[in-house]
Amino acid sequence: MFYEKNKDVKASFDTVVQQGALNYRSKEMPIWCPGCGDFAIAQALVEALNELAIPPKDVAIGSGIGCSGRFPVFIKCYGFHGVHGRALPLATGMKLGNEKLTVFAMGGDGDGLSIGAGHFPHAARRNININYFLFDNSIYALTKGQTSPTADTGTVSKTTPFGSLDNPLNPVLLSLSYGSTFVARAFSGYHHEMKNLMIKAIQHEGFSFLHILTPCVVFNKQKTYELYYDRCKPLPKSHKKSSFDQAMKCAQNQKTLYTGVFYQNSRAALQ
Amino acid sequence: MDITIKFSGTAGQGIQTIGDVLTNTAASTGIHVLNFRSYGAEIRARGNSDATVRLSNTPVSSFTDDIDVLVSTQRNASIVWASAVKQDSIIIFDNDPKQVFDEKDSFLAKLPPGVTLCGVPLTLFSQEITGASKGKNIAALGALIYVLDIPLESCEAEIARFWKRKGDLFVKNNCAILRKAYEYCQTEYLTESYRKKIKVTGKGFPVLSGNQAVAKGALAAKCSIYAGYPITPATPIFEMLAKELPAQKGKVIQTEDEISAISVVLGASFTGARSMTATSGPGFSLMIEQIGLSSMAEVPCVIVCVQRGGPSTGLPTKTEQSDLNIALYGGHGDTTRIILAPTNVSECYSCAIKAFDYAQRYQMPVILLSDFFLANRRETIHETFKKPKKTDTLVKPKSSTQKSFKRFKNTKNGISPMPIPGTEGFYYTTTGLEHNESGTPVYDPENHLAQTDKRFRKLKTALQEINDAEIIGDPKAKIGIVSWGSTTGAVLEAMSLAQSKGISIKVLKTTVLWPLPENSIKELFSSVEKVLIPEMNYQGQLASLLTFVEADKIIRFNVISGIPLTSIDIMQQIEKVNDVLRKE
Repeated sequence: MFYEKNKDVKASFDTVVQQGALNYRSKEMPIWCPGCGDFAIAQALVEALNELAIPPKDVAIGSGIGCSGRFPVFIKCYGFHGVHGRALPLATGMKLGNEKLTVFAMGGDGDGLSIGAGHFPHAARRNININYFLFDNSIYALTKGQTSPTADTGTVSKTTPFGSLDNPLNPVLLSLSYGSTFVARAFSGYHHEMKNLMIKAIQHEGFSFLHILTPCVVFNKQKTYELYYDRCKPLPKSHKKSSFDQAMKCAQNQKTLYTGVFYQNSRAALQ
Repeated sequence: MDITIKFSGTAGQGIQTIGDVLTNTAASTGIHVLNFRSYGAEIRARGNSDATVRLSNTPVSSFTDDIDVLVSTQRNASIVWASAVKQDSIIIFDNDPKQVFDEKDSFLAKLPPGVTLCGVPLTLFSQEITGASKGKNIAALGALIYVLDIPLESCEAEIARFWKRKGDLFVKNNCAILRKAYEYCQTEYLTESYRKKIKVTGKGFPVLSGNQAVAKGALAAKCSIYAGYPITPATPIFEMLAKELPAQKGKVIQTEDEISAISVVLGASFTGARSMTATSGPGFSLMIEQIGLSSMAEVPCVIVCVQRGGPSTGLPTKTEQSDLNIALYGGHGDTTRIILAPTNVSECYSCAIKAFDYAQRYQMPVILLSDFFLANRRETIHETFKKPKKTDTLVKPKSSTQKSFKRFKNTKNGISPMPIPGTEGFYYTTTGLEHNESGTPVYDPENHLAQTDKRFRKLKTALQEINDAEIIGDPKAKIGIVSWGSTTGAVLEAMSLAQSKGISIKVLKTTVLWPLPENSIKELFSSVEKVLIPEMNYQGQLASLLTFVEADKIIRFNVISGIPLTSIDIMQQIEKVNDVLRKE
């Protein structure tokens, strides 16, 4: 009935089905809040996998705890939703166990930069051929609003009612200095760019780090879509991704949050 | 013949080395050997170094308190052992300069009267041949093999093999020092009082340490991923696999910490690869979170915990059996696990294979509890190691079941088929959250009970399939012993000792500690009046676990000396229990 009345909706739905990305979605309904940036990340990933024609049987996702931790449940793949902070070693084990798999580690800013921060430099320096997507909403959202390692100094949250005293970490800067061979940043509000960056990350042989700015619309009233639409800009055309120095310089810019591939080089990768 | 030799000197004098060379030489001539090193945690300690080697014409699995031959390369260092030697012991020492006999504080002055002194100018012989005194340990070895009547040629052959990499000159010099000391004894010490001859049978045995046997078991089980973080005393497993795994297409990774190591193991096991990690107490404490995950997410996981003195950093180079509680109870929530504890070096091999079999079959963590004594002792192996028939025991779903596939299907035996990535159509996400049969996180009470039930049903299945408990000894005995791990060697030897003194004993021996072989335990308890439980921990961790049977029958024997229990220690306890029973 609905489709008979709304033929154009039916047509666009058919197009989406034909494109095939939906085949990468599992039957589970996401549990994220309406408006969460994570929906866009899931959609971009299924589109990227579809474009690259990687069969779901060869996709393995290891995740930690947090809103991002549930990610593999909603994707048609072999998923391992582990414990807090261990997405990277879990994914490392998956890749070592079967090098034919396309392996992802997914985790939030709390997961990867607080409790699991010790694993990050080592995954990077090993150059294990996995893709690490860091979902950064600058808040502990699953536990309903506590400060996170990427929250700005002065952030008022439930655990910092008088404002946070700590300096925020800069994930891109960290990743560069750890020796990652692929470092990029995406914003979940810029869907196509994010999808293309995912494709580049997957294609990169070695440790690919993708920093994804993904607003939490419920608990974070500071890092909003408006803020990121205002401050996220593609890296300047003159940026050379082969230049480590340029990448470091662009990563340090806190006013303009550059998106795109900051740095890429090739080094023997651990399989 | 049964001879215990104590090598004593200061660290850096090559005490462990001559212990090893003697061990290899004796084993190559068909003598049964047990060799245990003990040294400080420091790399080159200023302290003492000693090694104990027991030689016998029958198999041995523990030490006695006796010292039949004391080999001293440093007189001061040997003072601690002076009171431990017996009247008929032989002392090999450096008799140059000769005036030491008069020194009141010399260890020679502290020896009991009647011991046989076999002085040899060790330093002088070394200097004569090499110009340096470093070879005096070899001179001591030369004197020792004369005393033991071990063929000089066998020892020379071992020296040539042992130092092959050091080159011909090195080997030639060492052989010359060895021969010089040997021939000196031949002319100086003619009478039989200077000899403790051991029978040489000719057909040699291989020698292995517990750590080596675990690594060999892992190789035989086709372990393909080893993830580890260095820790005493488990590191030799890591080092051996780092060398040998690549040859069978396995991979080894040194992770940033133990949490990462066990996470890598879980990730790799998830893909169907047989994988393991090995650690000791402090590392094991860190790994506990992943044991819970392995249990909940039903992902195989093999952990070897080589116990050392604890808690905390504790006593890194001393033996203890104090990690049973953490192995049993470590972690929050109701977690499933299997615990294996080999009792000798051969069982280190077979238990390592079993650990992989069980981890995959029952999709849960398997903890192999070794200890410093088991891991670091070298022992002759008398049976041939069997290669496992199967090296994949994971129950995988049949392709016809794809439509009705549920990863955590509540089956009769609790085991749900587990597909591995790369398989078409059986997609699922496993999770540390409570989940329903399909793997979707849900929290309702009925489901939590059903899934917990299912996970624990696997342990019931396992108990039926893997139980290896046996009751050894006199069926009519009134004294029973339950023993686990490396202590069992001393217990079994004490059983024979007791028999010779007219005391009957029966021993419950099991390598599967969890699931607990309850029936065998009840059978033992109901058939005896007292149950002795010797353990190298303070609390009596196994004894506490067994209080559910007949607590008043339990007699605990807890030692935390850091030195392995001997059959004499156990025998003394048996006699005490026997006295109590007689008075009653």
